[in-house]
Amino acid sequence: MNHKPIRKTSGNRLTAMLQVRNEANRYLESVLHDLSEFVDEIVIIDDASTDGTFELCQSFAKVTRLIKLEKSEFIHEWQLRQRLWELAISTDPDWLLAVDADEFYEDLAKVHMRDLINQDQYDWVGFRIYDFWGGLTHYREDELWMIHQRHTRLLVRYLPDFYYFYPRMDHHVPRLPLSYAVLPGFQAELRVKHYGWAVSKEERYEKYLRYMSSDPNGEWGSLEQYQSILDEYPTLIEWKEDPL
Amino acid sequence: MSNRDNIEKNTEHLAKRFTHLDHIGLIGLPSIDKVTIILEMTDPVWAVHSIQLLLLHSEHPIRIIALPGSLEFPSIQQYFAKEEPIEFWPYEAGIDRVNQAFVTIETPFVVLMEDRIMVTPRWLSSLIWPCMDEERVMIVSPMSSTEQFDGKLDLWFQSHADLVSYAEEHHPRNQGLWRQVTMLTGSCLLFRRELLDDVGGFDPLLRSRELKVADWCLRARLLTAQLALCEDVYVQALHSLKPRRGEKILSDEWHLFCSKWGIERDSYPLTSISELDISQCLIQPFISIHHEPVFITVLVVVSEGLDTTLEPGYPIQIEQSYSRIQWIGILIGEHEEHPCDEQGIWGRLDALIKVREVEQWHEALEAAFMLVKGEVITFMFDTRTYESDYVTWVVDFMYRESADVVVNTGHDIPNLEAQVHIPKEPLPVPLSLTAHRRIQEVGSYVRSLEEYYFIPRASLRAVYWTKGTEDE
Amino acid sequence: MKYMIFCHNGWGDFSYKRMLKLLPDRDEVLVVGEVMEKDEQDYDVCSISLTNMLSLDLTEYTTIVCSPYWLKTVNSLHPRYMIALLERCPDDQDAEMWNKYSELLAAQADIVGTASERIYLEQCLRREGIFLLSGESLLTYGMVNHRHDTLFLNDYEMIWFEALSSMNKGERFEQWTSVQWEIRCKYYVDLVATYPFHATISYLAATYLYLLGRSSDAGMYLVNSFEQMVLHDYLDCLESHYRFLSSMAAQVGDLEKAIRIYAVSVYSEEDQMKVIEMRNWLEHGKDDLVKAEIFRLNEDYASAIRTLKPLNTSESKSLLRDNYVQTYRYEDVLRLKEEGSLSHEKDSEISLVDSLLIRGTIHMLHNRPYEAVTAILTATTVELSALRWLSEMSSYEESAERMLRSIAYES
Repeated sequence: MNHKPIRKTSGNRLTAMLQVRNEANRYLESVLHDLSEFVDEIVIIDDASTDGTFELCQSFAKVTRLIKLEKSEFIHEWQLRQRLWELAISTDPDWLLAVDADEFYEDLAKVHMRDLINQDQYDWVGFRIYDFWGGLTHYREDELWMIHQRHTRLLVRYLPDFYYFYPRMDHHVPRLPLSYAVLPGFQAELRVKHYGWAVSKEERYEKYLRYMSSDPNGEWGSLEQYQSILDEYPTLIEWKEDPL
Repeated sequence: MSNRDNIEKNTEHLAKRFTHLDHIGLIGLPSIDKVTIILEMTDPVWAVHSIQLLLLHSEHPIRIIALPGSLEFPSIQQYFAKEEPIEFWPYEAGIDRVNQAFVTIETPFVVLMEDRIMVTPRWLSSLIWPCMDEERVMIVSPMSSTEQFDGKLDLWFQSHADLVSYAEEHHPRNQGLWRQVTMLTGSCLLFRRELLDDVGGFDPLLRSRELKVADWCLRARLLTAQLALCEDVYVQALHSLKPRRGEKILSDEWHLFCSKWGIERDSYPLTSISELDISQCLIQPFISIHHEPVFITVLVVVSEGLDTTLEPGYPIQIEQSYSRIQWIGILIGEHEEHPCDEQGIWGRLDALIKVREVEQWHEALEAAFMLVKGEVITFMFDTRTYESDYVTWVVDFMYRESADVVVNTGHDIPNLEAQVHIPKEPLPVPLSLTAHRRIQEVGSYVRSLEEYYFIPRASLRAVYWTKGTEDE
Repeated sequence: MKYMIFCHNGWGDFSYKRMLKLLPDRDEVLVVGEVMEKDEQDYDVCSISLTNMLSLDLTEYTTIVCSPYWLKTVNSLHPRYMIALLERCPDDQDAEMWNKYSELLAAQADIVGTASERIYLEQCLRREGIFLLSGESLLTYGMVNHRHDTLFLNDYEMIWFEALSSMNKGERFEQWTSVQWEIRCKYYVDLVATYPFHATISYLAATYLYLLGRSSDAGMYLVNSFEQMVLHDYLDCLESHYRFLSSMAAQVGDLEKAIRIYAVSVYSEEDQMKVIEMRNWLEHGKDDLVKAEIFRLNEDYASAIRTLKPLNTSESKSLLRDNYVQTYRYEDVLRLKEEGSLSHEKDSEISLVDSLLIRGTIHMLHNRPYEAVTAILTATTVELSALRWLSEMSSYEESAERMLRSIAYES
């Protein structure tokens, strides 16, 4: 009997997983191009898009699993997360990278990606996410915009026999099962660029309105933070790409 | 002062006078009649203790009918003086002894209780008073840990002395505090004799005590009887570390109960019963308390060709302790005229079937079945010995386990209480150790070179019991 | 039956006074050390001085021992039965020594009781004959006549009574362990229905179901507990919670799964070698070894021992020995060695030292100081660090002496 080791130190396949909804005219195409350079496979759930997102995803060769939901499940976020997870693990992956449709890994991260996964000492990796603001040159850093001060778990080893669960919440559900928290992980000093807020002032205002209508009492997020979207003069820091 | 205020003041005065007279011992008993106490005994130590407390704390003259709960229940008469008002009834298999006890009741008030109950001072008068206060009250219960609903009260006492202190303080302080409830299920119930005439006895199809009593209470309520809970009486109850017979509610019993009362089956356990709207229930038929014990047919089989022994077969033990038996003999194959007949059984049979060809054994069985009158059929073969209480045990297990099939797995194990286990799947079992109810499609019969077998139908309740029979 | 009570720190601190009224077949109950006259009457006991006790023939007595420091003394008296009552380490005692010698006491005792559920569950996973002497039930399960009154027994008191009665008759009492597990199980399973988001309650429900051999039901309670732990940020639960699933898988016979679950929970090279070893055993049909080892790795030594005992290979005996060592069943370790059951390859220098140290400890606890010291010193010729056992033994003796002096002083 030849047993696959629980943790491989070489030859690990990297699978990206995304949930998308109406991203055709934003960064999705660039993200998929970018991912195609350094992952082996991409798995996507389209949450009932109406703008050609599905067809866009289909056009990428590395997208090996693509499901479109008839009806959006966004308001029951944990169900959507669960679905994406189940789709991703059905490919029998080694490592999974949870990516948003507006996220880009810095070059240094792409270079080190294989080293991160070809080891058997830790089962997840945290990265620092930077919120770019109003453009692709600066990120925001002030009291309520400090996500890059901590690490976010984005890359995990899939262990078929581990117990996975998501908290049953409708919003702010983590991208990856919470149970990874008990396994050893690695906080990498590698960065991810989030362009969700890199949009125009008008688009940021529309986002603000969407947040306020779906969560007017700040049950799921901070009202203060929603308000800060409208700040006239946020603190912005110039992004410097790390040398390879 | 208004009329209403006057009445209230008046009531208050009367209550104070009553309390004063009661305190100085001038209030007599609520009833001059004897009270019959039917005591269901499950444990000899508990029973002795329970009876001692009944004799100590019952202010009324009483007649105790003590019913043993099993064939193996030991005698406890030696712990009581002959002049005590206790009748120790012997155990009888195949019949509900409580219903039989009901037949003999002549007193207006009856208590039905289990030996787990330890009564407290003034318990009996306090239970009778609600019947005096309200003529529609038919069944009364004290507070105890054996009630499931409103009457449930779990109190811990380190000793009997503490229990008595509590009762002596609590009962007078709360005297007269009783209320109507929708359901009683406890191990101590007082009821009026006339309820037996109106409603009848316990439903013989129900086995667990909780369901039997719940069913009885519902039938009483259908006839507008009231159930009363005495909050001024607390009785202590003993519990068993291991589950006892009659405690567990079987699923088929629960389904029967639900069908009867229109209850959702998924709402087990009993919480739904107390909320039942009785006005929506069908009127239930009267259930007579007069029953005969189970009538059983024994098929005595002597078959040529079984086993290779050259010895003659065993004599059939026709002297059985159980009396209600129809005996049918089946002779299969070539035999001397009266085989195994040291006791002259062949002349005493009610019917005899003989087939010369061994291959016609199945037809012989079929013919015998046509003559069967018993509710239960058991088989005795000359290849085994059977004790004289074998049929009694069969009837007992069939009845109290609500079984469709009972199989004796006996190896002679002295001093071992008979054990019961219910296998997950029905297996072929030796016919010589089997008994089954006379029902349609009960199973099939097969014959090998050595043995006849019975294969029960899968959905039937087959119970295996262990107590001495000897294999040859 | 005559009973002799050996308290730790005297009668005042003895926390099982009521139990003395409920002892089965109660003939005489003596307490070593000073007891107030009122208590003597209330509990129907007699105090006896240390000196007088030592002059008695205790072979017809059942001893109740509440401190590991009595072990040496009680051993020398050869009582008919020894009941151990385990307690958490008192504040003024050295925890390591108290815990180790409490384990030795438990291993030697005929029956063990404790009011601490934590100690109880640890012990249930280490040996048989353990009983919990606390509970929440208000129900009455039995009666005992005491003087002119009848005492009522609650669930754990009745179970303890039945177990001791069986022991006194020389009968087995394991069935009462299962009865206690059923009661505790029901309590926690019912409590989960009321508090479904409480990690500890779910964990205890899972544990009792596991002890009852019902791992197929236990799993859902365990994962619920695991989820609650993670949701509340108690992240140190990989071994206690997740790995426990491997024990459950082993119990139901799914050994492949058991190994895989275990493998997920380990990272060091040594532990990964263990995984390979178990896979090897499985491939060669040595299922019982895998099962036992999974149990042992989950600290369920009791199940491991039960699995290994009927086996007769040198490999199984070696694993059995490891389990005996970890549960301080030193006499069983030596017995295995004497039977010659252990293969010579396994009898390396390390295990030789272990055997000598174990032997030394037993000699010490049975009042054979010369033999004890000889064994330890022999061990030091192989492994110098064995010297620390000498100082440990002498610390134990000092603590025992101190306790005896305080009892003697009171008397």
